[in-house]
Amino acid sequence: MDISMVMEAFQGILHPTMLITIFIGVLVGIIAGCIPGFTFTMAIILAFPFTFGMDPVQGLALMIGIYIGGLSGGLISGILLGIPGTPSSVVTVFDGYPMTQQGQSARALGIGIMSSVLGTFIGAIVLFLLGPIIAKFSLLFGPWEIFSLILFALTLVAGLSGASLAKGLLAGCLGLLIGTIGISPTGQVRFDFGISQLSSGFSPIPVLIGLFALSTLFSNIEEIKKSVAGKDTAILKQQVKIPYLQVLKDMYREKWNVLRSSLIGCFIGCLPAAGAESANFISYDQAKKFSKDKERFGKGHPGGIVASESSNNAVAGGAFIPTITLGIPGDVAQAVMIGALILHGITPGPGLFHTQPILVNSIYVAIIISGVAVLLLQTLLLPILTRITFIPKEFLVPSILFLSTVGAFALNNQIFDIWIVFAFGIIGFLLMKMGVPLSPIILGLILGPTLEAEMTRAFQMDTSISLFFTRPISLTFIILALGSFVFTVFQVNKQNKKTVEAIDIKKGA
Amino acid sequence: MKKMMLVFLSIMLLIALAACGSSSNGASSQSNSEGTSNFPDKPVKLVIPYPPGGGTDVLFRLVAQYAEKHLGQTIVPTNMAGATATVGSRFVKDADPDGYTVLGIHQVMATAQHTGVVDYGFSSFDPVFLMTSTPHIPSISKAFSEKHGIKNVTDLVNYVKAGNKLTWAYTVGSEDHYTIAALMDAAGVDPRSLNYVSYDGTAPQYAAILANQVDGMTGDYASGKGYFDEGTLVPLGMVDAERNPFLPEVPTVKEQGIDFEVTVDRGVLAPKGTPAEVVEIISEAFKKALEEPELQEKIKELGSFPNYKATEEYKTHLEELDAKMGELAPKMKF
Repeated sequence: MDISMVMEAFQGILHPTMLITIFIGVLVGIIAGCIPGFTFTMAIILAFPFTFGMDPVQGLALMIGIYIGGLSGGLISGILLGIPGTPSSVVTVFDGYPMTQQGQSARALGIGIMSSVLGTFIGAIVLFLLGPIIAKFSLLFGPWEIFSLILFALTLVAGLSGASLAKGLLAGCLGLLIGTIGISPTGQVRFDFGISQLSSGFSPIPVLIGLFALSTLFSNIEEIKKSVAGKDTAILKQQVKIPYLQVLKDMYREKWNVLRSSLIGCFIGCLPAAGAESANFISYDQAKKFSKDKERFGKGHPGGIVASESSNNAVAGGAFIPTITLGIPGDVAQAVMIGALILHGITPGPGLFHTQPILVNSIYVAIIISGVAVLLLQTLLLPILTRITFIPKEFLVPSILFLSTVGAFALNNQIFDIWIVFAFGIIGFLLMKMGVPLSPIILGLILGPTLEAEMTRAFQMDTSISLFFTRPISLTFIILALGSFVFTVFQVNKQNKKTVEAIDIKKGA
Repeated sequence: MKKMMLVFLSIMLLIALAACGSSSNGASSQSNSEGTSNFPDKPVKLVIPYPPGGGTDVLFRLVAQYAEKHLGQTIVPTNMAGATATVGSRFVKDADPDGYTVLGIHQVMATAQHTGVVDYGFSSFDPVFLMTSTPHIPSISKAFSEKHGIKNVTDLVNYVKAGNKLTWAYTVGSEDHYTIAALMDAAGVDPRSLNYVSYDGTAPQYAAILANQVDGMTGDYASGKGYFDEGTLVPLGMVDAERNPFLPEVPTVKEQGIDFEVTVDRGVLAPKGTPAEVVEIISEAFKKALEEPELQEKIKELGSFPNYKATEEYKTHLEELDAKMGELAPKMKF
C-alpha cells in the first residue's frame, strides 16, 4: 500500500466539485432509500447516463454517494412508518417502529444514523486494510459453503416468528414456495400456470412493498375509519430534537454489536450471492443471541436498529472487495459502477490495483466522505423528517400508496409488478390479521432462489452429497444452522411457558 | 400546518412524476398510431432485456447515445431483465408496432426458443438492423491449463475426446451456451459430454474460474481483459473469421482445424408489423451513428466491432443463424 497514492486520492476527492458531487449523490440516495419501492440500485441506474460526461473518479464518486446514502435512507420510513424503504432495512422496522410508537422516534433515528455511519466507516476500513485477504478467503466459498451459509440464514425464520413458531415456519415456507416460481436454474419454466409474466418469477421488491407497505396502509385505513382522528397523533407529537446524549449512550452500550454487525455485513457483502438483504437478518439474529435482554428485541430494543443499520451499510465496503480485487461485481449496483468504468475504458479485473491505484484509493476515500455526508445530511434533515409522523394518515396513506406503486413499476418497467404489489398487499393484510409474521416470507423469497441455485451448482459440479459435510466451512455453517434452530426452539418454549404462567397468575388474581 | 402538508404532497408528487418520466417515457402513450410521416415525434424506448451494467446494456446505451442526434429524438434505454432475457423480448413482441418500442438483443432470443423457454423466436419480430459483433473466446483457468498442458482448442477437444471430465461454466439458454455446444459439435464431440455448471451471467463465472471451481468458460474480450492480462484466464481460441487485434497471438478456431465461427451479434428488433418507413428511419439513424469514428473506437475498446447490416441483410443473417441453432437444439437440452 503506497501512502502517496492514498494522499493523491484524498487530494482528488477533497476538491469542491467532488465534494458537491458526493453530497448530491448521498442526498439522492437518501431520498431514494426512504421512499418504499425506490431503491439505491434504481437511483444509481438513473445516474448512470450522467456519469458519461464526468471523469471516471467523479462518476464513481457520484454513484458511491448514492449507494451509501441509499443503504442508510431505508431506515427513515422503516422507523417512522413501519414500512421498510429498502429490502435491506426490513429488520430495522422490528425495533425501530416500536420505538416510534413508544414516542422515541428521534432517538431511534439517531441510533439508526449513527449505526449507518459507523457501519460505513468500518466497512471502508476493512476494505482498505484487509480487502485482498478477504477476497482470497471468499474464493474458498464454493456453492457448498454458500448453500450452508444460506441454510444457516434461513434458520432465522424461527427467531423471527415471535410467539408462534408454527405460523413463522409456515410463512417461511410460503416465501420459499413463491421463490420457486419462474425459470429454474437449469432452464425449465415452473409454476407459471400459463401466465407468461410469471415465467420470470416474483422479484422481491414488489412483494416487499405489497407485504409491508400496502398491508400496513390497509390497516392504517382501517384505523382511520375507527378513530375519529386526533387521538393517535397526540401520542406522536413529541420531541423532534435528537437526544444526542441518549444516542451516544446507546451507541456506547452497543459498541460490540456495532463491530460485530459491521464485520458480518462486510463479509456477507463480499460473497457473490448474498448481499445487504441477508446481512441485516443475520446480524440481527446474532445481536439478539449475544444480548442480555433478548426478550426486548422486537419490542423496541436499540440493539436491533444498531445491528440492522450498521451491517447493511458495512455491506458497501464488503461489496467493493470482489469488485476491486477480482473485478467481480458483488451486486447490481456494483455491476452498474463497473459498467460506468468500462465505458471510460477502464477494465476492472485483478489488475485494477496496479493499473489504477489512484482510482482504487479514491473509492475508499469516497466511501468515507459519503459516510460523513450521511451523518450531516440526515442530522440536518431529521427535524423535518420526523414531522412526517404529524401528517394525518388521510394524506399520508394515499401519498405513500401512490409512490410505492410508481416505485414498483419503475424497477422493471412492468405493469404486472403493480398487480403483484396489490395481490401481496391483500395477502399481507390477511396474514397480519391471522397473526402470521410477514418477515419470514420475505426472507424465504430472498434466500430461496440463491439456496436453490447454489445447490444446483453444487450437484452440477459433483453429484455427491457428502461434500456438504466434508468441506470444513460448509460443515461449520451446517452445525451453526442446527445449533441456531435448536437454540431458538428452546428459547421460544421457555418464553411460551412464561406467558402461560403469566396468564395463569392473572387468572388466579 | 396545512401549508406544510401541501408542500409535502407536492414534493411527493414531483418525485413520483420524475420517476415516471425517467423510466417510462415510451410506454405512457403508445396507443396512438397516427401517421408515420412525422416519426419520431416522441422518445423511442429501447428495451434491453438484461440488468444494467452488463455487456449488452453498456453497448446499447453507448450506441443509443450517439444515434439520438441522428434520430432527432431521445432514445430511452429501458432495462427489463429476467427469465433468460424473455421478459423484455415478450414485452416488445406484444407492444404496439409503431416504432416507439424496440428491442436490443442478440442470439439469446433464438436459444431461448430452441431450449424451450419461450414459444417464439426471431420470426415473431421485424428485424431493424444489425449493430455490432463480438467474438467469443473459450477460455480455461491457469491452473487447469498448467495441470493438463492445454494451450488451445485442439488440446481441449482431445482432452474431452479421451474421456476426461471437463467442468464448464455457462448461462443456460444464453449465447455462450450455444457457442460452446456448437463448437464441440463442430469438433466432433458430443456437446453433452461436458459437465456444465449454470451461472447467472458472466461475472460469477469469472469468480468460479478464479476459485478453480470450474475449468473453463466462454467469455469475451471486454469482460475478460483483466484476467487475460494477469494470466489467470487462458484464451484457447477466437471464435471468429479473423484474429482479434487486441489478442493477436490467439489463433482462430478455424486455424486450429475446426470449421466453426459465430459471433455474438447484437441488433435491434421491432414488433411484428412495424411500418417499413419507420424501420428505415431507425436503421438509418443508427447507421449514421455507427459510421462515426469516435463511436467505432469506443465500441472496439469494449471488445466488439461495429457491423452494421441493414434490415434485409440482417433478416437473412438471422434466418441462417436460427436454422443452425435449430439443428443443434437437441444436443443443447439436458
